[in-house]
Amino acid sequence: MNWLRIQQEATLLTRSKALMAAFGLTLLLASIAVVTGLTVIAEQEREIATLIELDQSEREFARSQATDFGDAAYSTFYAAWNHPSELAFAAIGQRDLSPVMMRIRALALEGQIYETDSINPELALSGRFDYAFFAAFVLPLLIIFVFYDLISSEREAGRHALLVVTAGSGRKMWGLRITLRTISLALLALLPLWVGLLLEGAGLSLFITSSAAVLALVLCWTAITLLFGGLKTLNSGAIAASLVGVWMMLNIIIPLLGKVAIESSVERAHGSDIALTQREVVNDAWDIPKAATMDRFFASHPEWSDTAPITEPFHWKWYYAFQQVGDEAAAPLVEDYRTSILHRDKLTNWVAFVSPAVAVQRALQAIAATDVKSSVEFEDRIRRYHEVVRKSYYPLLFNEVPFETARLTELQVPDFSSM
Amino acid sequence: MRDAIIIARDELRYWQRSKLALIALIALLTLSAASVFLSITEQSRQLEERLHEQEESNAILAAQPDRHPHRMVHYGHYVYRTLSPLAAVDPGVDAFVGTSVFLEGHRQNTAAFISAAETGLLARFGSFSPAFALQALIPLLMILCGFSTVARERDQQTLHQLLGQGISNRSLLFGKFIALSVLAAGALLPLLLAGLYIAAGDSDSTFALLLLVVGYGVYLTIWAQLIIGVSGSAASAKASLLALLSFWAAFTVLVPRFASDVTASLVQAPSQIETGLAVAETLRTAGDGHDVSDPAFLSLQERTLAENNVTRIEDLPFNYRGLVAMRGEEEDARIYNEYARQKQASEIQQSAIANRFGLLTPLIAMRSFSMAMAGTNLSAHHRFLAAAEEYRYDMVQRYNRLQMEAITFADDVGRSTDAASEQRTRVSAQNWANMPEFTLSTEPLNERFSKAYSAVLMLLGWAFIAALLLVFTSRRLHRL
Repeated sequence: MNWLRIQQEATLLTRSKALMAAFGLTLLLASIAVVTGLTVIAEQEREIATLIELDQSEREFARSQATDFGDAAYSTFYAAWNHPSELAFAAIGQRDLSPVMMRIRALALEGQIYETDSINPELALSGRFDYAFFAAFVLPLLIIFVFYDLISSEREAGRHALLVVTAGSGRKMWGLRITLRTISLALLALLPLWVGLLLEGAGLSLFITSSAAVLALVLCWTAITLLFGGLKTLNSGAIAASLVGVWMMLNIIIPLLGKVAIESSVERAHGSDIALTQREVVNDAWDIPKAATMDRFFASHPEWSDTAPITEPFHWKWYYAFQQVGDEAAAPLVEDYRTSILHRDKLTNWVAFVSPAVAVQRALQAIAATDVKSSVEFEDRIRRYHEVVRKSYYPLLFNEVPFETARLTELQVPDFSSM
Repeated sequence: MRDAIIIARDELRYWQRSKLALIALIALLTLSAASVFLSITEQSRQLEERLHEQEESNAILAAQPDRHPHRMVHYGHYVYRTLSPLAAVDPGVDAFVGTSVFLEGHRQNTAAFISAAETGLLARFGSFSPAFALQALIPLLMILCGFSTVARERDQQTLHQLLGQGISNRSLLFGKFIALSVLAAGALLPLLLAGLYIAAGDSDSTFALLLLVVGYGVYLTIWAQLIIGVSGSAASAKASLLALLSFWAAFTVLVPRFASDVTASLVQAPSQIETGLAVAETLRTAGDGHDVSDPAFLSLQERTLAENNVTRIEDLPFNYRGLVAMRGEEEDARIYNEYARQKQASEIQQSAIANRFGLLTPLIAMRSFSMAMAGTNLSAHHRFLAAAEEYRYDMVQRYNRLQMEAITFADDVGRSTDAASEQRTRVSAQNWANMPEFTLSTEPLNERFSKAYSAVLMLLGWAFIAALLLVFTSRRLHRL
């Protein structure tokens, strides 16, 4: 393949108004998607920063008001947050529906962890125009536009045979044309993504993995388009129409059928059952002998079993013990709920095998840590952090340390970033 | 008119012969029928599940033993969001809002467990509902059937022949339009039949369904006119297809998402935590309903003592603690409601802005009308939140009134030290068993309709523009 031939083909490419328009649109829409994503993520970063700051001052206030350690643990909240990764702007994923920050306290966690963030459901219904959406839905349409009549238009213009003959080897010429168009399109689609990654200060591995996902999609759709484009029995119009039909099948119908299949095959674990169970145990504690609750608590926390027995009608030791027993009682349901979400997510893989749109979004969300798995992991981290928080108060409560505000100020609870 | 019918019949015959059109036609009918069937199955499963959960929750509440009423204030109650009858036609925001909310004293909780968050990625591909099919997919299939209606005749040089035979421009375009309208009607039929079945016996729903069918009829007519108009103006069938696909991509894929993004950046709603902190700060200024000596209740105490001609709260004919609890709850609820009102106002403002993008795409106008008629839009969700809050407040105040009237002040004070007093402060379990059940009604149709008038106007505007396009095309048909 010589340089002159490449130059000729490139000139041909730039002379086509329709192709230039498609290339321009690719760059424009990819850029809009990147700007949108960056805006959303910047806003989330701002909210998290505000939270961390407010959380600090709120905690100091709560401590200054406390009259005993039990009361302090009751009214002191601790912030948990999920910083976006450097690729999160490209695939917002679960970050617009599942909470990215939370404040928790030493009470039963199952009563706190399911609070939802304020989202406008009508906006969520439309969804955001992020890069993953651009790659999954818009890019294939642009690819179809660029390639659908590559071969058929020459045939329809009666140049096909002539071209093949004059260009020497026909395969080489088509190969060159296809490669040039693919590279141009891929570069224009990737350029805004790279700018975004640079702005977010991403490392090389994010560049490579995310670009590979987009490139795989471009190749996949180029192949599909050429497959139809090469059919001799169809004219350009019929090729375009068939390809749009395929797009609709792969991008909408199959994912929707996949969703219906998954929903009906996986038993849905009900989140509200967790909260109900936890509430029963916590409330029943008031009606049963305190020793029964304490025994259950000591079974999982033997280190406190030697502490003084409770004789009063109310004691903070017992209060925090039944909170924990409530969480423990709900633990199997929590596990079921968690498993059912992860199981459904895993089944989505099968849909990804047949739908490039699902595959590319899944890949980008996984790399960006904005997928279902990551939001479940955030929940796991909150659970671990909650354990740290409540256990920080246990020595003060179970050893019945006399109350002093100074002891509270000394209390070192690590912050969420250590999780 | 006779000419138009002949043209329409010819077009339908052509579709039968053309492989592509035939596939699109079959897909269109299958899709509209399947979406109706799948959506009804899914929505009735959801509704059944939630009703079942609600029954369980009610039974658990009714089974609680004799207790101090304030324990019940904290024990609270779970209520579930039921679905409007027409949710099977258009589930609207259902998947994007919490399905249940925990109601307790002293605070308003958010609706938890958003099903789209549990489903993950696939939830974002839309719902297999008649609404989604009719709004986005059917127009695409109509394009695949109809892009060549007129343009094909031009490509094959049969256009001049037809017009030369004395068929007027208007009859020709109208005939092609009738053919596409037959398709649209075929796509609407499953919705009409199944919808009437769902809504049977409920006049509000039946009427809403008819309005929906008319609305979708107008919407598909807009598309049919656009398709014929473009097909008649385009230089070739290929150009017509590309133009129509660009319209479709812009109207259904791009603009709705841009609308969300632009709106979200124009009106930023505070996060739940920011609001929560603001609420907490305001609550500090209100009295603590657990504490009769809270200075915030000083004037209440003075007034109550004076009204009853006594000097000590111990001498009041009722339990003063219960009265303070009621007043405390009233204050808390007032503060929570004020913040909830602000939050909802900003959401309503956001939706109003997003709906203005209905000027740029008929899909947004249609969707907003559709969700309003089906009772599944933002306003329906706000209605659930309001109903839950009303129920919560009533429940908590019932408990507080019990504390005030069924328990003596002496027992209430003595219960933490004296076992006999404690026993007397437990009121009968019958009180929980008699708690009214939570019910959620759909907003009356006339109110739903009055809120959707701007969507109706936009839809009619689109229909008018599309009709103009057709008239314009008819005038230019010769010259092209």
